Amino acid sequence: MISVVNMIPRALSDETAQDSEPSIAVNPEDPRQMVGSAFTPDPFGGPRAPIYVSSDGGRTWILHSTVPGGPRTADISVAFATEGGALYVGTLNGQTKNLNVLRTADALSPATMTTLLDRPREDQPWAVALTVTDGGAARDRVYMSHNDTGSQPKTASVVLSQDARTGAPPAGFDTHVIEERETMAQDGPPVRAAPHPDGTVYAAYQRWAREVASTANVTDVEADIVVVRDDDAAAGAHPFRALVDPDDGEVGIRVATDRFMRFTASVGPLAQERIGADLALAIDPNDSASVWIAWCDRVGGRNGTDWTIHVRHSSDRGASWSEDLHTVKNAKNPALAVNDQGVLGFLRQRVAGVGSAARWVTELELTADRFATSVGRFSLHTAPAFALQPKRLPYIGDYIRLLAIGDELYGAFSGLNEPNRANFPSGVTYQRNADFDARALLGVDGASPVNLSIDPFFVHHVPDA
Amino acid sequence: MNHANEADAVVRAHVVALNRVPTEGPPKEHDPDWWVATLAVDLVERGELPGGGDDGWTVPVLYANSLDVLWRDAPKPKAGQGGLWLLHRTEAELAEYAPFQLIHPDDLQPSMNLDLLREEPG
Repeated sequence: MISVVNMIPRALSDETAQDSEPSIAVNPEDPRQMVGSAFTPDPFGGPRAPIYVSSDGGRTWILHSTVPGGPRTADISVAFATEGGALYVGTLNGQTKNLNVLRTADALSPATMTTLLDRPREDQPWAVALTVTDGGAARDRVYMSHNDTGSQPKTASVVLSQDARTGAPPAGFDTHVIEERETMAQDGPPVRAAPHPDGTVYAAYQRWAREVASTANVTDVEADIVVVRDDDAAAGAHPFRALVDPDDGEVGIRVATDRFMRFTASVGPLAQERIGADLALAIDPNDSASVWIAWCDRVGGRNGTDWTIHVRHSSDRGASWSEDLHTVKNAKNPALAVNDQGVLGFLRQRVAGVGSAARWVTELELTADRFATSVGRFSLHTAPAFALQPKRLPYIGDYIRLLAIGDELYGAFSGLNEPNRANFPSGVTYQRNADFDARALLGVDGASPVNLSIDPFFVHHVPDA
Repeated sequence: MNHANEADAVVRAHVVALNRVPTEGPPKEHDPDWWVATLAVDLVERGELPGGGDDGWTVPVLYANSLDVLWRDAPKPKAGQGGLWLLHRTEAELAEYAPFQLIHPDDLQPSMNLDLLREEPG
């Protein structure tokens, strides 16, 4: 069973913000409790930015403005520990623009989160967490991967704590640069970590090796896709050094080398979305040797027009990698998760069609045999790509998210909120007022027309019995 | 107008030039895309301009022209645009480009708000 829910609460039916770049966290101890995030401003313009909160398994959502740093954050990523209910958040503070690592013991509480870490010159924090029991005490291991532009030229980094649940700030958080090779001046923005309860932790990043060409809004680079690993929860002073590439003797296996990437800071070129920073990493909860990676590059090189997702797999703890097991052309925002049945979920957003006919299509694909066959493919959302003038960048987001809890998958993506049944081939539920027959959004009064905008959507997949 | 109390200078002025700051270093996802707006000042309401400048001076002001989520809401001056400008002193390497910058969405106000500002305790 698949379900899709527009996350905008009914009480915010008048809102028209560009609520892009969503994240989602699900409490493994009580999957009815969920937290979502997006570039949604506080409805009252208050001093804290909101998160989305659900206590009924994602059927309904409300906003709690608990994130310090002004009415809106920039990049934000959320993660529950696997036990104890603590929520960890990585964000770029909307006022200072600093990386903030935040914590709350009660994700459903409207209280302001505690700031554990505040660092300048950072980008794209990505939160993952798990709980381990050590000597009878439960400890939250938290990994906040990020691009530390203050550490140029080697910027791929992970700020982490082995025991983040209760300590006073910084609660054990410390930053580690995981890039060891030379770069063109920095690594790419996305860095991802994937921990396992047995102590295995992988991290992946894009090593920007060489600049090919550059204009005001476009930088072409050749990049390597690199995976590092630690076998002791990254608890040591110099973590993530377990994998050494046999070809150059350096730390970190290069899954792919010399890939052409176009990094843009303008509207487009993928419909109205910027490109250049797509990466996903997922570990099998039943087998820490099994790890998946996805990234985007331009197969056509400097003269190409594509932006292609590549998916690869390692079954030997990252030591060697498959060739492409799956590719999706003109796509971005790959998100991967493996459930406890060994089924990989692959959520992504692609542009279908060209010109005024172009549409953003969000799909979830499931495979249990490395894409030899598909055990499910769901078209979740399809909507005109040029229906709106972008208010800001990114348009729909530089990332989306997919999680696995047990055998179920939970995700979040952003897209056009036109209430048109044809736009939701797998069905949808709106909380905000909408007239699907008239294809019109309605205000809080249930009658006034409201302009279309970008909204976050929650997706939930439950395997058939 | 409480926000005006956080400004280092408040001037009534209009834009007479816009110039992009040369890009240095690798690209960033949240690159501010710095530009400099030159403001022709006809009234210094608060603060002091560089060199003791007063009414009739021009002052360069840094602003982020990026549409990125981190910078989209910062004021983006347009050619000829006039108003009441709330200026914040630049620090560190940004001071190389201009003595002041625009940071907050409210850093550009209609000139008619001058009366409102004068009614506020400074």
